[in-house]
Amino acid sequence: MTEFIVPALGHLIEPWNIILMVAGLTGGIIVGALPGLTATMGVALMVPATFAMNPTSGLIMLGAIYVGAIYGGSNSAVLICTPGTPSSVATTFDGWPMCKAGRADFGLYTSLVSSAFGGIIGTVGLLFLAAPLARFALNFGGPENFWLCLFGLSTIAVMSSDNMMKGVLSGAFGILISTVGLDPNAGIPRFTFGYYPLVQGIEVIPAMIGLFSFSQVLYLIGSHKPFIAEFTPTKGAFMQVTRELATKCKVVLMRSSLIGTLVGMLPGAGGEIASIIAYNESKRWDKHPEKYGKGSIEGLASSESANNAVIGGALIPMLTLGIPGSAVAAVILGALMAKGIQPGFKVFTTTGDLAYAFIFSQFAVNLLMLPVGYLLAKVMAKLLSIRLTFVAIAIVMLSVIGSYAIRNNMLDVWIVIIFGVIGYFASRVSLDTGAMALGIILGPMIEENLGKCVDISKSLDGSVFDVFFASNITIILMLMTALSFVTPLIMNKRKKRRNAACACGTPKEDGHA
Amino acid sequence: MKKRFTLRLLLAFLLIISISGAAYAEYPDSPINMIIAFSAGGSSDVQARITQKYWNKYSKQRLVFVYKPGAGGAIGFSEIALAKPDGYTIGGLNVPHIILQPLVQRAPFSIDSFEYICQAVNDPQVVAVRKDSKFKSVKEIFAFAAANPKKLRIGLVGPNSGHHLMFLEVIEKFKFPASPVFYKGSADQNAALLGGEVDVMFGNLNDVMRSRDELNILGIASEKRNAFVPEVKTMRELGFDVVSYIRRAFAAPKGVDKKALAYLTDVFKKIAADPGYLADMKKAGQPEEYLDGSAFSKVVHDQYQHDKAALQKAGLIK
Amino acid sequence: MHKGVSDIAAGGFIGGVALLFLPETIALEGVSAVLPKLLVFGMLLGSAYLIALGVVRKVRSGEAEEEGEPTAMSRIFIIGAGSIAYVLAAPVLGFYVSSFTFLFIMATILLKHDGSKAKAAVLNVIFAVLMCLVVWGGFDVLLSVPTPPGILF
Repeated sequence: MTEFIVPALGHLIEPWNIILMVAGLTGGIIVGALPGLTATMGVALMVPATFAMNPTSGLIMLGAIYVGAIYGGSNSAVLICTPGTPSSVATTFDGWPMCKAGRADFGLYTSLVSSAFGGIIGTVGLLFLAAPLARFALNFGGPENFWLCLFGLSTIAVMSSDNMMKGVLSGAFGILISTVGLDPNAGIPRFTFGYYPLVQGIEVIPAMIGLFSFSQVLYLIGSHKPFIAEFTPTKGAFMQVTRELATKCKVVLMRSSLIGTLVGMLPGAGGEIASIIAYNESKRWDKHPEKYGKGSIEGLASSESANNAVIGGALIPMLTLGIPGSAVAAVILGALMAKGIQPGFKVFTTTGDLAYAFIFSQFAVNLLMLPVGYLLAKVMAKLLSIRLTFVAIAIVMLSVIGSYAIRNNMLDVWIVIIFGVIGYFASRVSLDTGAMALGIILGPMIEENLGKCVDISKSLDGSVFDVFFASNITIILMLMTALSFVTPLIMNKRKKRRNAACACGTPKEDGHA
Repeated sequence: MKKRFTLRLLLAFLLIISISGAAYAEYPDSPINMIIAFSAGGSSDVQARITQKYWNKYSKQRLVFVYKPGAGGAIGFSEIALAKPDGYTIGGLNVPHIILQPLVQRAPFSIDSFEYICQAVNDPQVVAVRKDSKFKSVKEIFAFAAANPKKLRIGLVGPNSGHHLMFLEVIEKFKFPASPVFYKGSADQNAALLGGEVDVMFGNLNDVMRSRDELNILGIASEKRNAFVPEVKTMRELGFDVVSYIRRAFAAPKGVDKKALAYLTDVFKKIAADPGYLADMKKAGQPEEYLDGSAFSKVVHDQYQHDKAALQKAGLIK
Repeated sequence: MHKGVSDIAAGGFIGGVALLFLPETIALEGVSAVLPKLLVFGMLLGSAYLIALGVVRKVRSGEAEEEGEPTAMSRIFIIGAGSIAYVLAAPVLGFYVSSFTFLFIMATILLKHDGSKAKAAVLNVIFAVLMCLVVWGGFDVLLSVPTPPGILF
């Protein structure tokens, strides 16, 4: 390894590569912030451009776009309650309340610093632990992924602890919607209602644009406010956020980044689940879980650090085994293969120059993201000083083109409109659109992995339960899922007890840190 | 003065339009849409992009890539089949996908909905195991499976895919019961093999090459050995008569203008013979094999009969 | 909205969706049927529970009317109908023509400007043109993301 450090660092200080990193980050952040344009698309669109570059520069740029896009998703999550990429669903939970409370700059800076932190932790994992982590990730097969998804789904119970029935039904609605299209186990069409194009299923992203962004347009237009939220920038907000993250959120940040790295390297799971699980865990272990969902800095920090830590994690099995840990990593893998670079543990030796240049560039990109993201956040916060009606109408146009761009298909645009209306009325009757989105995202993975368990059980002459109990990881995940369903009950009890005990003074803040 | 100029400009403009719109205009006079039925960056896309690179060398018009992914390619294939047959919409097809989708998924096209231009890739399927697997040969695997009914787990991408068909053919021909486990894509399938969830996988050479260091290829289901892995014996050499491929081809909608088809055939033929193209395909791990339109059409029709019979036998269709 | 009414509406929605999926669910067989059957029947039960709960709450009516933020349903209806018209028009008229029309008309109807009518119209045209230019520059030129095709552009 040591022999590659100097030449790898040499690549990083080439001006051309620095320009590519900054350009990739800027482009990535903008692509990520626009609902409909995801990280996968941003990277895929730029792959042809890398064919003209040398492999190192091409890879560095794709990596920068990836990092930028995943962070960029938080900008729209905070400012207009629309996750720019599926990974930032959990960012809306606390980011949007923060913005509504007039603290948009705090929200944006928290996302920025947490994203950079998460990204760096993920890259540390990639640099030092690639080999053992890749081997560990391979232990996650059908049963493990099935329970991981259920564990992710159990978040619904924690999220909607005041109204569990409605939360669970919203999740069920989401999963049911996700069963439209080709069945993953038998390969036959379901729920097409006699309309053939539905065989491709209801794509996650248009459904999410509908549930979050179009329904938000309806909400905003219907409110009599002149602007989305009151906002006057606070002097020194950035430093204040950094200080707060470094003191009372350090445990949250660390835990979430580790969750992100671990989930990221699993081939079947990506940022969508990682950020939800991290959010859930932060809430579970916090002394004051009731502040989550109301604009807490911890909630925002956990979601954003986790989804950026996924990047480093997702690159681990891609580089070492040729198995991409996320859709974006798959696209990058395609670009690598087209350059004739063979993944495998020997990328660190035979093409070590390139591999280490890429890994070090990930550090550089995450650090560069702080200034680049800071400037862009300042620009994006200006959105709040534009008349609400203009913003809302413009979001409709962006939603239309964004959803069309995914598959070049008008069906997806209709899905946006339909789910927008559903989302708006659902939230008026306190159904949970977050739970619906989770169901739509996790539904196909749950069914597909359950199918694998059934396939495997046939070779054991037993039931799926034999498959579940055959693996220690599965048993742990099952226990965690059970625990997760019980937590809201305990939390409610604790809340009641505390309310009963006294209302004396503010609780101490530095409990577990 | 100014008015007259405008008028003249307008006349010139009309003239241009009428010339280009005339039936005798030289094909192609505008960019040609290339429909890709899979997402950008995937294996099919990489291959088509390499083709595009050399397309520009032999044609004055550009190729415009239109991605229509969904339903395992069925959405994009339908789009090609239903396009206007004017030669300005062509696309990439995959076999056996276009054979199986109408049979199993009620897709709105059939193998007769296309005018085949050429075959570009012939990706044979291989039998692969983990590097440290106890199986050292195909024979051992099949013997184990026969001795331990249903115990052997075989990883496949599918269901109703080329891999699934190869599986059906193998269990039918060699009479052993094994348990298939289906994966969404080759990435998951490779991961499952390396993680030990399945004992063996039937996968495409192109996909297996990505994790080449981690697994052993025991046999290749092709007519002759492949240049990428010359040391691997064919299944026939090993005494098992199994041949199974995934092919990638380019096609236009049925009834496309004869002149346009001739032009396209000519350009694709030149591309397929270009040394630069061949080198790029090799670098990208794409097992290139050119067949002209009529030869490919015959292959597809033969395989249709074969696959239909196989699916009926397995009870997957009536 | 009254809490009871909200429960009944939520239950009705979930139950409605389940009923919509019910006929095809029953027709499914084998592995494909497992998850949908579980969901559809679970949702039917859950919706029945919610509706019952809502009715009880409504009848007891001990809980007071909850005052939410005031909403202008007419404005929501306008933007909803406008968006539907926009999506219908896009593949026919072309993306940019319909986008410009949509942006301009919606801004004109929904935005209350302080100044004169002419000034407002100019502002709205600038807004519509600017958005179209930004989208065209960003999506078509820079990223070459396709926009819905139509007769015009």
